[in-house]
Amino acid sequence: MSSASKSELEAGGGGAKPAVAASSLAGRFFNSENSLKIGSLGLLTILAILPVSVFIYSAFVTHPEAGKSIFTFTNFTKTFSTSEVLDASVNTLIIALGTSVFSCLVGVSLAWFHARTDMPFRRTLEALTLIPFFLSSFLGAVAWWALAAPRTGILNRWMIDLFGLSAPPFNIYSMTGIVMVMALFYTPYMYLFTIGSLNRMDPALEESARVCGTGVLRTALRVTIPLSTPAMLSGAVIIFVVSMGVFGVPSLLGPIARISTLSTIIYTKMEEYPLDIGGAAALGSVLMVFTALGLYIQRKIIAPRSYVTVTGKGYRPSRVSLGPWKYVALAINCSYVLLAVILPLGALLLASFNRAWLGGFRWSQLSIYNWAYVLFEYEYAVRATKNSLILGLVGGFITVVLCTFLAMVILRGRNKKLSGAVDYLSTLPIGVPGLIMGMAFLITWIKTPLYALPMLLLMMAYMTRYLPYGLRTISSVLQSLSSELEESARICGSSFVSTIRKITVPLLRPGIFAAYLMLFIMFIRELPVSVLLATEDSAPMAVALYILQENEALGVVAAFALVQTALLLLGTIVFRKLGSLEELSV
Amino acid sequence: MAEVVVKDLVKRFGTETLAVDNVSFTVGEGEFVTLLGPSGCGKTTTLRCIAGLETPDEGDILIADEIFTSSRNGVCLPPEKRRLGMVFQSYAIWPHMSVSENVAYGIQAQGASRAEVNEKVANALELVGLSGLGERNATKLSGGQQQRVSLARALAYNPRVLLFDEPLSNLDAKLRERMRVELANLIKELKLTAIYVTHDQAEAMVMSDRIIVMKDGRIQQEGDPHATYNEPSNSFVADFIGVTNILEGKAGERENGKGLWVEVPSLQSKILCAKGIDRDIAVGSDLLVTVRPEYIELGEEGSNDNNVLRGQVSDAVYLGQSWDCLIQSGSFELRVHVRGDADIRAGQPVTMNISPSRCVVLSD
Repeated sequence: MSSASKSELEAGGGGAKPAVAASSLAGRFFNSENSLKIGSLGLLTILAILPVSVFIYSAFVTHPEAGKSIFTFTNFTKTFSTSEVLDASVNTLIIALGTSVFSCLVGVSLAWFHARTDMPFRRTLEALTLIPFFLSSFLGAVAWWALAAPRTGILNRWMIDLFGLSAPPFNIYSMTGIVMVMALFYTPYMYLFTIGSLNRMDPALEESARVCGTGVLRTALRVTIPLSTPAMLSGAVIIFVVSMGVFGVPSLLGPIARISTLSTIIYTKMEEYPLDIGGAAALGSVLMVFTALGLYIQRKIIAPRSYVTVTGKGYRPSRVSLGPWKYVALAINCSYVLLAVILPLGALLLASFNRAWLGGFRWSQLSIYNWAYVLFEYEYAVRATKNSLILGLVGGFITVVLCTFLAMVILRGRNKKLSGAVDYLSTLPIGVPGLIMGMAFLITWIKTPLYALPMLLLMMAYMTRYLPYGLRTISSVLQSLSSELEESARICGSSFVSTIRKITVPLLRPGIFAAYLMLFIMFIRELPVSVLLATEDSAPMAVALYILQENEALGVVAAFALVQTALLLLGTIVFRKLGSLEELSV
Repeated sequence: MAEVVVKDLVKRFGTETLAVDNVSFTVGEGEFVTLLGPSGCGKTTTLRCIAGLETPDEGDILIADEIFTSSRNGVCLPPEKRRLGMVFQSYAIWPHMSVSENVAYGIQAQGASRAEVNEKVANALELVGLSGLGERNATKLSGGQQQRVSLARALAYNPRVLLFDEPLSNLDAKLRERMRVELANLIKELKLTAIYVTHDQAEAMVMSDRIIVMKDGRIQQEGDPHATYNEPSNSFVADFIGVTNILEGKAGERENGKGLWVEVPSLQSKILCAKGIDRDIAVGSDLLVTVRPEYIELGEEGSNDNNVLRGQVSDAVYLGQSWDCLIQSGSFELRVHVRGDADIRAGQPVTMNISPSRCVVLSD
């Protein structure tokens, strides 16, 4: 080595070479990686932190007269001194716990059946099992309302006629009804959270357990499931947190049994006279504390466990032979499909073809009136359909780009501190229930020019609210790609950015398409964010469905719900074709 | 090609773990240097610091006089600016690219023309013996072939230094042995500078010009395979590389020009040691002596200066080319390797003699 550079080093770098000077300490921090990370932090602050801060601020402020505000705890003390709110808190927790436990049990089992066993009719059942994911729990509530309302429910009518019962056996207007509908419709989430890691797992991990002398079930319980624990726990906690903030199902099935939840009370405070923004914000803040607590637990359990179960080597998936148990698996799966797909969709179909609905399908009433009405005549519904399509396609695309970018920023690169900060900020929106995100965006932006562009505002709110979901889908694929694949590209001389373009993104393609599809579906069905934020002109389909449900006959509601369903299924088929997602089973 | 200088390298993970603790070494042009040690010894971290995949907390890394990393200057070139080649343990073959595309990647990254890329890819594939497989899907190849693709990819763009992170450990034993020789020959032929990380001492012996033995983030010994094997500096190195006897003893007097007498209570004997004594050793101080099993010979013959020990065979395992024996001498069981054509029975009394030049005093 030359004596010059040697002496420089020994002198402690006093007079470094030009090349060295260019990357001084400051230069080292503001390299391209760090600037990307800091940029992401800034963006996330505007999207998520700002509205949520305004929201929390408003929980601590009262306005005794115009233009004057006082810092106070009155909003909390006043709101939580009512027994209604205390009951609602308990109800909220029961619903969340029931939903996450049941959907976790069913969802993980089904995912394992499909990904790792020889259960018959897997491919067909895989598609059927995921249908509820497209339907949304609110739509499920509408359908189960038609099925099991005490007097008008189809199932109740049938049971009474068949067995001569004196009273209707089912009552959907109950806590059980709410939890059942929620669990049925959140099961596919659990399924999707787990199936990726199950599909990608190196089969040698399971095979070696089998060789060690453990049976099928024990291997599943001791190896397969623990290896997917990070994915599973994320799923379960997210479902818990999401169902705490769910608005649609309890708002439809709760009132008759006088079951209210925190979210239905918040909605009432924001929409009915007298408006109580401070009280709603106080309730919402408490809801956020609960969800944040849930997330904290998730992090503590999941953070220390991450497994790279896929190496850079090629692997061949293999399946476990269940023997006669495969018929038990089949029966479980079929029952699920019956309850979550066939009965609800059947009820909606029947109702949509009867102009007047009296609890049973009548051929004499056969009509396509409802369909023609929602598709062509009812301007509000037609506009809502258009709005939802724009939100789903354009909004979904922008969000998936952002998610891919953030996943990379979080999981790759060397500055782990900044990665952690980005990760944390982009996970925060999970802790903000949709209704509250909508409310936060509303009170933050209502007095700005942005409020004149309600579609843009909705898109921003959707993007913020659903960012963590898209991010998780992409990160889980990214996590299971060995980072050596990227490191070797860096060493071959390609930069951080070009490695992302040429290596990471192509390898992530299935994950990216899966995330886009997921976001598209979520955006098309979106209710809680939109229900407060959307204006009459910008109302998307779910909001329209909510309004229709209050004002129109069941037939119209059913037809519109089915239009939404058809859109979602159509979208899914197109996405799968484009992304060749067959292997990903999304 | 290049001279690699690693100076005072320190890398911590978190606040507790010191993965690399003040490591310094150089690698000359065209030299093949192996970092050898058990898992967790810091060898891979050191390699990743050289590659630019880790940022060391302290220390400098220079290649061909260019500063790659210098904690004092706050310099840390990103990996892509270093023009190194690296072969990973998992091969890290990109599954969405064909064999050729994998190999071409690094050449394209340098902005070469299409013709140049094709030529270099063909050359690289020929070098590793994969000509004609260019259009295959890389992940459909066998482990050994994937390994070759990975090597071709690293070679293809004339890197200044080749880095290897346990590249052979995923191969089966036969293939691994063949690849060792082949890889070492190829690198010599191309006159490449190479830094090779492994935990397999046989691999290190066969391939390297020089071996750097590491443990707990520190260098234990540096030297060519012959010296490392025959004159281990401490009990860790003696034990990690090959099989050995380690005897506890007390230093005695020096015998002019011949060595140092060491009193070994367990053998109830004094032995003369000629290696590892180039330092001040106070008479009466505790020390360790190592003797390799194959350097202990049976029989009375040998030069007059040889240490002579008497004992009894307590166990002998026949390995074909040799006997692996345990011979009780005093209260110590010496491990001794005897030629396969000898006649050995358990219980047999034997006389052993050991040349003083095979008795190495360790530094710990």
